[in-house]
Amino acid sequence: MVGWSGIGDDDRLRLLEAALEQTRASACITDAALDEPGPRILYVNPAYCAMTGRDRDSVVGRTPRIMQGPLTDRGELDRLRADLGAGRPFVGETINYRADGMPFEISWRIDPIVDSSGRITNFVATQQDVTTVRRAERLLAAERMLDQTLTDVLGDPSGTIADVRCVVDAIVEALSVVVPLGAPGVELTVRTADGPERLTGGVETSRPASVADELLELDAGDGTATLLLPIDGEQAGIAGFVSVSGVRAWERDAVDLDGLRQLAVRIRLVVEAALEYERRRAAALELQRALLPVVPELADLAIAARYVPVGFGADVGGDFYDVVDTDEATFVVVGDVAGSGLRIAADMGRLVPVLRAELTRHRDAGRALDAADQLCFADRLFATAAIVTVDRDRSVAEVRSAGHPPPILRRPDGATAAVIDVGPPLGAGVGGWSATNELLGPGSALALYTDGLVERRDLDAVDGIELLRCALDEAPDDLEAACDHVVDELTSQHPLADDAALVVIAPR
Amino acid sequence: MAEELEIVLTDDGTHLVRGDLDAHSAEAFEAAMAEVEGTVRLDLSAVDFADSSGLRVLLGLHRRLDDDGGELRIRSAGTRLRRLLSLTGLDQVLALD
Repeated sequence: MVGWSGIGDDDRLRLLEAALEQTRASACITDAALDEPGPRILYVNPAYCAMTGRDRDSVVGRTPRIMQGPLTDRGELDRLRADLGAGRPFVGETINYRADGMPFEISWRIDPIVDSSGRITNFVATQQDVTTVRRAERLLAAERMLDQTLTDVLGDPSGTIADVRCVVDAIVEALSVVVPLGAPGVELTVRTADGPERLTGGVETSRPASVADELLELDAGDGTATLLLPIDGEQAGIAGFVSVSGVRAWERDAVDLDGLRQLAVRIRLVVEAALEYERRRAAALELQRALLPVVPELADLAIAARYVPVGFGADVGGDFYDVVDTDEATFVVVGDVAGSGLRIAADMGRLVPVLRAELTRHRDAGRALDAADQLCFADRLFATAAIVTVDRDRSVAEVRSAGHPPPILRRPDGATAAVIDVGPPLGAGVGGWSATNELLGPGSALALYTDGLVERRDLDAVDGIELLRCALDEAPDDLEAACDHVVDELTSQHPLADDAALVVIAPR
Repeated sequence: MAEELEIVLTDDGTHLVRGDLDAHSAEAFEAAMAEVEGTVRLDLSAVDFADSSGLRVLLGLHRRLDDDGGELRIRSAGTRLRRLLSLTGLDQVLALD
């Protein structure tokens, strides 16, 4: 025999048997009968007895199939039979049962033993209880999934993740990883800036009147049970639970309850973090909105404006608009300050009043842009802005753009993107914003917007502007309805990645 | 999802920028270019997407180099970025080769 030297047959057998008896690896030797009622157990070692909860006398002479039960993977058993039938070793994993009926996860290997003539005489199986390891792996995978979702939500300033919904979806998915039985569900009521919001995912379950602090098991009355775990964080404004429903009686013991409890803690933390982020965004948004003016009611010029926020998970944009009405002309300003977070609101809060003051004092769009450029240059801000000067007759609109996309002009015979000279953006310190005059006849309208409305990763600005042109072309005459139509058209196919602003004006 | 930003200094001294130049990566770009000085050449042909935050850091780099007597030169830019630079008037500010 390979690997032995200077040791006689008797000693060798004694050593091998001692090793097998002492090892913590579970081992089982059977004969080679594969057909019903299956192979007969000839020997099991003490580790096997410890793992299965069966003593040697109760298994020797019987088939290893006594270990199997309703959760045992039939596919694995078919593969086992095919491998062994072909004389190949088999390696697999499934669920087996202890003497007391408790399921456990087993990883095992079976090798055929051949005699000198090549005939298979026996099978040797070594097994390992991998329940703890697999449960830990599943919990880790589920927690990583939740953490990754949170990272995506918090770390994506372009806001491609537009809803707290994705956190809920990740919770359902994480539950199904930790408990691969039954049907997972989640129901949470969270406190947001707009009041309580109910979020549900997966299979809905009705929560009993009495709220348990711990894991609750409900008899569904159809032979299945529903497991409920509260996810409560009173301070963070979270109330609700996660559930696994449709757990059949014989699946109950295979549920990793400890894993479920640990996952529930992680779920609460993830929801708390997502909510906290959303609250901070809501605060920034509120501050920013407070900086936007109330559009004045003018007798001879209709003005409708929209600020369109991306929603959950995104940073607040620096989009702004303003209307300055003087006795010489009415100025409509639309712009966008680059940056993110609360800082952007502060930057907007400096830039918008400068434009407004200049327009009020000097009634000159070019001069206002110069002043804004100087401020941006000095403070190292980057912004774009367009100013439309509408004369008192409401017949001519003069457009000046500092790096800002061209307005769209609608006339009774159709809408076109205005052809204008786009000057350098604010903050470049270069200046030079030439004016383009557009005629505003009866029935015409002019739309100003920020790039968030027409551009995102999957939408080139040129295509976005064309979409906007079509939307304005077919928009209703009522300006408020027209704004809604345009926003709908631009956001339905390509969700916003950035906040956006839209202002539409029309002579009355 | 956003592509990670990568900046490689090529053999001829050009900084080859790869990925997205947006709100997500603007800080990383600023940090990576914090030490450069003199005449800096950027190859932006591998920048697939840029937004106003990305343009802000480009302009910021141009300003810093310009203040110190240096220069920012954009050697190459893809169609989409070129269009964005023209749409925002930045092509009148930055030197495009």
